[in-house]
Amino acid sequence: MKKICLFLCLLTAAVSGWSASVPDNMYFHAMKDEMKRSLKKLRMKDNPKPYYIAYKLKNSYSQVWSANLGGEYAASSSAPNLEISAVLAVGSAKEDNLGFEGDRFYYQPSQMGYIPQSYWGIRHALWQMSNQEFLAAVDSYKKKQTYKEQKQIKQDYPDFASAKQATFVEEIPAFAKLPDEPLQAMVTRLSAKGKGVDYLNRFGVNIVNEQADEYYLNSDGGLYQLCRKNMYVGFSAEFYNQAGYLSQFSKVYPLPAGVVPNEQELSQQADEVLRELDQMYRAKKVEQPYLGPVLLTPRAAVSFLEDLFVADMNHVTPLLQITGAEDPTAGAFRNKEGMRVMSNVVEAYDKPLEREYRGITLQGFMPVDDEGVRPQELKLVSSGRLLNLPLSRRAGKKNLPSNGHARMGDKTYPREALSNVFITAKNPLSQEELEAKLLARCRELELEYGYILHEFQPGQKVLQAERIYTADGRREPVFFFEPVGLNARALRDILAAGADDKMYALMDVYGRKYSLVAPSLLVDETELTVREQTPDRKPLIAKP
Amino acid sequence: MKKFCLLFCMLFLTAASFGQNLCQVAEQWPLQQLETELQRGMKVFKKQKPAVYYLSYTYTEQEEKSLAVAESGVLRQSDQNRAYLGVMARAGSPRLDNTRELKSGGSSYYMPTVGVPFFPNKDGKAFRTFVWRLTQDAVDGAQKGFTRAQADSLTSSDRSDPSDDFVFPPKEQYCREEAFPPFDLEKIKALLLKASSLAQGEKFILDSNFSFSTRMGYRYFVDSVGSRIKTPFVYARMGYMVTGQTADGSRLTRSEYYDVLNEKELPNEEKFLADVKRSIAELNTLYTAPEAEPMTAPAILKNRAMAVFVHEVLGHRVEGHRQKDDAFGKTFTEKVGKPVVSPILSIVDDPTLAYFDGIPLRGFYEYDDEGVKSRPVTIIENGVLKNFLMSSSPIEGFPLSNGHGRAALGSRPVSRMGNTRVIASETVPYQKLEQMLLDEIKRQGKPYGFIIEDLSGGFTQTSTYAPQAFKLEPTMVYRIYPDGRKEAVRGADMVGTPLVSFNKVLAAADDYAVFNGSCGAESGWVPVSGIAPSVLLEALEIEKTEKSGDKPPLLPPPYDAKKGGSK
Repeated sequence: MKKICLFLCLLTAAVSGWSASVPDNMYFHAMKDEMKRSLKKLRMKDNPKPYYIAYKLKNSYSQVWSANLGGEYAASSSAPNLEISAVLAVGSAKEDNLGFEGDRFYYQPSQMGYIPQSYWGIRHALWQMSNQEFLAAVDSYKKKQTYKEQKQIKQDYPDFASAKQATFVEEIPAFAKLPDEPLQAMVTRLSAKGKGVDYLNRFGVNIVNEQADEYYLNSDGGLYQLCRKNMYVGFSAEFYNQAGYLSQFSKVYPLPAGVVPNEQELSQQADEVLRELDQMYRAKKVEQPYLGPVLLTPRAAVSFLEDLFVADMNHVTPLLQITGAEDPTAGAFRNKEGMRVMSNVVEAYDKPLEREYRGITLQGFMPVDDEGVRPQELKLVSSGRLLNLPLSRRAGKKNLPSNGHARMGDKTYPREALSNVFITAKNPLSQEELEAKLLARCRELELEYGYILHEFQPGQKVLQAERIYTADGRREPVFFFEPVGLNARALRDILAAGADDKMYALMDVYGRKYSLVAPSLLVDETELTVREQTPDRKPLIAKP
Repeated sequence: MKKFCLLFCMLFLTAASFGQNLCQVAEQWPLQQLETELQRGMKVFKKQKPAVYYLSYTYTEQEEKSLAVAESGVLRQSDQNRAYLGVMARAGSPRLDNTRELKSGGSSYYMPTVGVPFFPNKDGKAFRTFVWRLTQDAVDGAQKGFTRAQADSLTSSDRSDPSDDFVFPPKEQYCREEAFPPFDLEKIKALLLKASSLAQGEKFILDSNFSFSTRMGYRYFVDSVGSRIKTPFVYARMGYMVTGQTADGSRLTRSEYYDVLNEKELPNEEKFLADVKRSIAELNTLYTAPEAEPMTAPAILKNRAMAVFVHEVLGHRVEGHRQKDDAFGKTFTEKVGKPVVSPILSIVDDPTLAYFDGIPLRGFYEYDDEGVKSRPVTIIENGVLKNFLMSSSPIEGFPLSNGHGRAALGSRPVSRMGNTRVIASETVPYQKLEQMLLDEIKRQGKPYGFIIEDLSGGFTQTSTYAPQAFKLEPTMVYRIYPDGRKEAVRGADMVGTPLVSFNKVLAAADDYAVFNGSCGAESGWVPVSGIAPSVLLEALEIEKTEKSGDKPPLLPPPYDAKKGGSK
């Protein structure tokens, strides 16, 4: 009898462990009530029952002001969009349905958008979603069991390790709407600057003011309630360059959230964009491939690191694949702790608890991760060696404790992922020093010129670049090539890094937002090939 | 006949009623800008190889508001003003151009369209830059399309209808403005929220949605023939849908939509809530109703169901462009002047009607999307096929458009319906029609007949590849037994072929009603209306509908705890 009593007490604690500390609002009341009901009553005969549920609600508000060539798109307004996602695990923490990709095309949670803003509306959506997740979980659990039996997989570690659960609750302010009229007038004036440039077909400017309120609750007691504010200005343009190629351009600058931006500063940014466009317009077509050092300015450096570093650091625990194949989504650095993965001129950190960088919102801020664990700041790489990886409660064979880096996205259940990544130079160099170093390296390799890449997409194309001549340091804008053969090896080829760190807001292919702060990087041995494409058809009549 | 005329004089309010707000074409800034760019372009385009021989611009300014609620909460609310520009370029000649249906496949109904900003400062140069840029794409696409069409015509079999690809529309100048009606969104929201609470606490309701939306603005049209047109449009709709699912996978739906032109025409609270309650009760009835069995039996198609039936089964088959495309079944192509439906029926498509019996019609328009003035077209007179609905794509025997070239934003116009109305030459009161149905059931010795109360839509096969059949999805069907007893059934689909089905109309009632909806076809979704009386069919074939493979939720909706809920 004693044993039974103890068991009941534990169960109650598990189900209602958070009841005392859950914030008093309809979001948490709805999550708590439906979670209790689902844990207690969702059953299918002869099948495992739910043992863990996590719900995440996101209420998104936005205001957008946009204009093009001095014409205005009317400011749009809309009610907040309430979205819900859910994770439900059946079986037990020792052996459950997750960490396995069966024949559900993706390893992703159920989601619903445009949920009614009412307690019953949220309950209704959670009811349907829990049901959907439960049926999928049971299906996945059975397939996983069969797979493990067939493959004779024995494990002495839990599928889902226990971890101390954390809470974070901050007050959610009402969405601070900014006044439409001055902001609409501002973007209209900024976009009118494009009218004075003959070759521009379009010059668009938009300012976005966003707020996302997040509410998370899991059945182990982890919870958070936080408000993310975000604001940015975007510039876009289209033109035929001098060589007759139709070119598209877009650039986004983060802004301090929730305040009317300073028009003078934005005007300077617009002028800077117009100067860049002028360079792109005048750029010469590259005729020869190139193999040699390149200087990546921060924007290009971020694209380089995004593809070659961040993606390989994520998803430390591979998913079991029903096909028996290796998990293609698992990060390539997962087994390289202690190994040299990067040049020793830079260091890398992940700082999930930082919220702002020079007054701008960091996208990866998370006071509690999506498994209820408080995240730790990680020194990822030092002296070129990989020191730490992001870890979740699903550590797999490593059986290491979570360091609070389980992150859920639109297209993935919680998996290990970085949040706010900082790449810093050990000995930061000025722009002039970096250029001098580039030229010196080119001379050493007996190259006539080197390249400065301002923007590129690894594996795709270079959008903005300059050729710099070794003889006299002369620079000329060029276009029409693409990098080839770039892989993680290139991280070890970083020769120097700048002092010009910039922050960029990014989103990975799984729908997780994060920030990457990086300086200019000088990279040795980069191959650039000439693209094969004929010029676009010239307009039949001149622009009005 | 006297009765027939009187009926129509009383019930229809035509576009003439709107004539008092005419404006000056020459004073319309968007028309001026479009004309300037069109003339500048055509000077060059017509000399190109292949030549662009026709160009038109459609510029639309609209305000869209939408609101949706469920479970006593708002789920979506938005308010957007947008302007769109569409460019139609025709390369080649009217004999053969880029719009030719390709026998080798891959025909496109896309019309280059982009969102453009508003220019309250009337900066013509900037506005025309957008026009110029899109024109470039449209001309480029038209020239490539012509080359494809030319190659296709050389390598494909002869066309059964050798008509030209295009006939120039007449030159039109028309300008009308309208004061757009305000709607009290807060009041409407309160009503929808109240209504949504009625759907809570019912185990048989899986989902519900209560909505209101408006779209109103102006459409400007300019073409190289010289037409300059400005017309207003207003669409406003309030409605709801409640859905359920039985344990064996039958999906159940009840819905009601009210299309209006101003707030006064919306149902008042009492009526709206009563309708919602009725729909919920009907859903409950369906939830416990037996499943329909495949059966052929006499049936009544209630008025709004008949309107959908005519639209799907006959209407799409009399759209002109289908008569010249050899990939279509051409059910009626060779039947002009011949009886095709019961002689008691006449069918007219009349987009000039703005109202029927006080109900606004969504299929109303003054000019079609090719700049042709709308007009009533008698499709069928006393059962005999007289006309097709024509756009500017001529067919044998019908060389001109009759104002039915329609398209959604981003699509090239083809012939479409507007307000399709069915007129019965002899009618009886509805109760008499039900008695006639009972008599017919007994005469045929059938165990029961059907009353099709409501149809949600369906599809009709018009391609030669597939059987020339239709399948419609009734949402509310009753069996009626010889003793007059009625029993709701679920999971029934109506199937058949058009020529047989329409000849089985034995009688019609005098209860004309309107079905307002949106019709999707090659040229996108366009608003349409159908007006029809209830009819008695000698035989209607019912088959089982497709079921969902998904299990209904294991737990009941959460409202069992509603009274004791924490919020």
